[in-house]
Amino acid sequence: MTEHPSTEPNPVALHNALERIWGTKPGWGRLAAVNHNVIGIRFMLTALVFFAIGGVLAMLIRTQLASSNSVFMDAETYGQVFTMHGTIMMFLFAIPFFEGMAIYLLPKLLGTRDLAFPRLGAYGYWCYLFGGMILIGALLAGVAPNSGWFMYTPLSSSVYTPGINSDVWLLGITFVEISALSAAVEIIVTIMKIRAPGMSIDRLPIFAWYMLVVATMMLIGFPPLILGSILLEAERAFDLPFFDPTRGGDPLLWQHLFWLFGHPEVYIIFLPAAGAISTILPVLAGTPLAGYRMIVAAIVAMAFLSFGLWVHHMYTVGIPHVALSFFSAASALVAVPTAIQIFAWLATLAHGRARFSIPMLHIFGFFFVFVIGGLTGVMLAMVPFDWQAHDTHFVVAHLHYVLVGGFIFPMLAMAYYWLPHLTGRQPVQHLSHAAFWMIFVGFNVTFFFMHLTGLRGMPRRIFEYPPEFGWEVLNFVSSMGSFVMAMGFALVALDFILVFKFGRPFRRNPWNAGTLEWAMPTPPPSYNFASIPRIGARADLLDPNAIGPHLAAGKGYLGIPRYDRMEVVGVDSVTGEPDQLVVLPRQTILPFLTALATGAFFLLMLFKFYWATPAALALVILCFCLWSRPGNASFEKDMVSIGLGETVPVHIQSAAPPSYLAMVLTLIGDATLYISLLFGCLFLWISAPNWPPQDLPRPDVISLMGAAALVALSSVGNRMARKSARMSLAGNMVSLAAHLASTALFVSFASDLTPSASSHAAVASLFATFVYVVLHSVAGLVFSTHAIWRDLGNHDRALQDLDLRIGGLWHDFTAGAAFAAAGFCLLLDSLVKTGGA
Amino acid sequence: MRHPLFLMILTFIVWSGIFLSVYAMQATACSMGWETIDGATWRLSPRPVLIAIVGAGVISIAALMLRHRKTASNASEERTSVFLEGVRAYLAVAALFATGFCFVGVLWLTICSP
Repeated sequence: MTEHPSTEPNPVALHNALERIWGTKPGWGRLAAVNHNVIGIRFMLTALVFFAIGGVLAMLIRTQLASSNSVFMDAETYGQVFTMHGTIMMFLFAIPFFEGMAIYLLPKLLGTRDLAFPRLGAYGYWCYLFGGMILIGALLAGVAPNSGWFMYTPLSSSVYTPGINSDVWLLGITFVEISALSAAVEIIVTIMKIRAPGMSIDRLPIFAWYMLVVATMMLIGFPPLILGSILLEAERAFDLPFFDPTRGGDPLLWQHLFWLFGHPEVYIIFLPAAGAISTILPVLAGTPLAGYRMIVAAIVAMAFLSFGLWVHHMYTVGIPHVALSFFSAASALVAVPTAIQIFAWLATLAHGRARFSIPMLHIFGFFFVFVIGGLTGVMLAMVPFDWQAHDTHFVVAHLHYVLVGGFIFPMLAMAYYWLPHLTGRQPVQHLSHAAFWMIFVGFNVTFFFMHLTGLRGMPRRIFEYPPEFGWEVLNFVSSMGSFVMAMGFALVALDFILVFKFGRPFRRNPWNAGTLEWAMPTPPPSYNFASIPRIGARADLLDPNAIGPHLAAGKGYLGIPRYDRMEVVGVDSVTGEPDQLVVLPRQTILPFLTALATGAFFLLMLFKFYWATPAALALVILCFCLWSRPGNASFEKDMVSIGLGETVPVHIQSAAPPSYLAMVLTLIGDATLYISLLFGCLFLWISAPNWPPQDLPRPDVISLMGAAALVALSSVGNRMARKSARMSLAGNMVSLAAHLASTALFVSFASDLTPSASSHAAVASLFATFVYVVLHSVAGLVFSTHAIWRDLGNHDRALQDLDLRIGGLWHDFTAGAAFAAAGFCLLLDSLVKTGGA
Repeated sequence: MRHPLFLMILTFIVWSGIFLSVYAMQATACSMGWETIDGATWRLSPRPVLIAIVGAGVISIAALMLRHRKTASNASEERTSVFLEGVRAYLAVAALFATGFCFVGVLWLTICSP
């Protein structure tokens, strides 16, 4: 325990004390790392390794297509290579890279020491790594996914892809998406609750606004993909015919679920990069960002609009005119908020004096490439043009202009900009210019000519073409350009190595920026700030050169380590005034072990050892339960000092602790998945052939409503437990018993459907809905059992209250889901009987 | 749900609701063949219903746009409140325009023919 010193803290002693608390231990201790610096860098480095693998696959594709009738690869190998190229670049590189960047940067920009849930970040990283390894392992073994990165059914169904190729994608990507969802929750809670005092919502650094919007989009956008993957895997593994038109399923259901994720995904990738530009560009222009408020409105509008245009990937499937008009209009409209940002950046440049450094060069690369990609996007948003260009290389060129322009060039700009922060060294810039021009020229040669290849009719995904079609010269030019671009990336890698070895050391803030990440030593210490600042202006208009020494001397908040605890200040989400002291959990190997158990579950599914999966799932739950073991830290019951004369309660006593918000967000993501499931089933009723089924077995109304009422009883028990300490045990017992009974009933409903679940998609839909409720009820059992364990262990009442409040959210949600399942069952039955008439 | 951030984005939540309702209504109506049913039956034909949904949405967004809230009690809160009100106003105008622009097709485009 570190004693309270009575005199001014010595900065060196303070550094040593904080480093001992926050630092990651060497050797095996690295497996227990939870620090955001370590996790963020791991994410970024791992993503770059995947980027290199994806890049090599791209070179293989271009080698194959460089000449007509090429024999370099056969169709099967080519299928695996182009599928893995897309999958790696989208799921294993682009999203994880910006997650890593956000994990590394956000606490620094927000003026705090770590993210809200360090263990969740570590768990997300291990899930990402293990999921990625499954995919790469499959590639090396020659059983990689081969149905395209969008896995369209029926090509990816077991009839046409009987091996494990599609299973690898469905299970591997779902595993990786756990990390994306955990990152989304962590980022939102951190931005809302864990920041420097005084940083009201209007003073957030612009990058935080971008990440708040992106994380919210991830929370809503990823569940439909996860649901689609689960349903397709259920079809492949258990013959539940959600996508089989001969049994009431519909391949279009997959397309809807995939693109509900897939289109917002483009903006999920672009917006963090745009956030980085909005941070970097004003610094390099030497003037504040123009139109801060307008940009915030633009990115929020963009987020909403991006969810209203998924069908523009499906114009050719036969959609009525009026529906096409909704999606076409939204697709064109989304260009407006994008343009607002671009004009704001141009205005910023016009107001300032731009420094033509390497990051700025890459920003200009972004402007050129992204604007072209945006314009071809507007072309593709127009239905008549899309019908002509659909599934041609024009679309391939467009998406690369958007994604490389919207992500790779900004990524390189931010890499050069923040490299001094990561390494403590400035670039020497001997290779940087050559690398930029090779990438820029190589990229445009590759993909500009690909527009023409597409307009001349070359379809996507073909592995060979005859010479008489006239595509060979254009393809050869594209292939040459791609190799120039690849050499440019190799030069960037070499340039970075040179910076690490020979870069020039600097003291502080080499770009003269106004953001807080420069108010700390570089490379940053594990705790970021020796004490936490109070912010008196917008967080990108500060003076890190003055703030840094002040904080290093321990003159801000929490400048005195206490009880060897990892402490940060929690604030009101709008005003930014301190409202709690958040005590973070210490380093632990549990996230690693939990991810291993999760990986075991997915591997057992992949290799079809279904009988063993319940044991793996139980192991995952057990590991998560171990996370809540009481540590050595004890919590004060009274208000505690955070320095500068202010006192606040510890987070477990607070009205709005981070964990409560995290559960609300988790349930929002969960609800999105459930709503997608119910709407998906109703979509089948509307659009799938071979409806209605001849028979829809279902439980009787009384049993159904009784089972749902039992789930609701668990909420009543939870409320009893929260009412008083005396009632706590009894209430939690009621909750436990209600969940046990409801689980048994819903399991019996699902079991009764099992014999006929593969006969028709309607029965399979009911089965999936009941299984959803069963899984939630089982999780409710875990919450209730945990609450009883707290009761019997005589734990801190404040801690129990917080657990009960969080558990209460889960019980209420499960009750709502159970009633919705009952209602859905009756509705489906009525539609089947009456044909909807 | 009185959180200022929720109120800030409320107009676009309404836009999302209109989008879902209009698309679901159109798809259901076409699937059930309501376009061909005589208007004298208890069911309305889809076009007036779609127009009514869009109209109700426009009125809701306009009403939200005109609604001003003043909650600040000190200078700092006033600054934050002005910022949020400003973003809310931009978003309300954008949502109103987006509603008209995206759904105007319900007035004349064929409802069920691809």
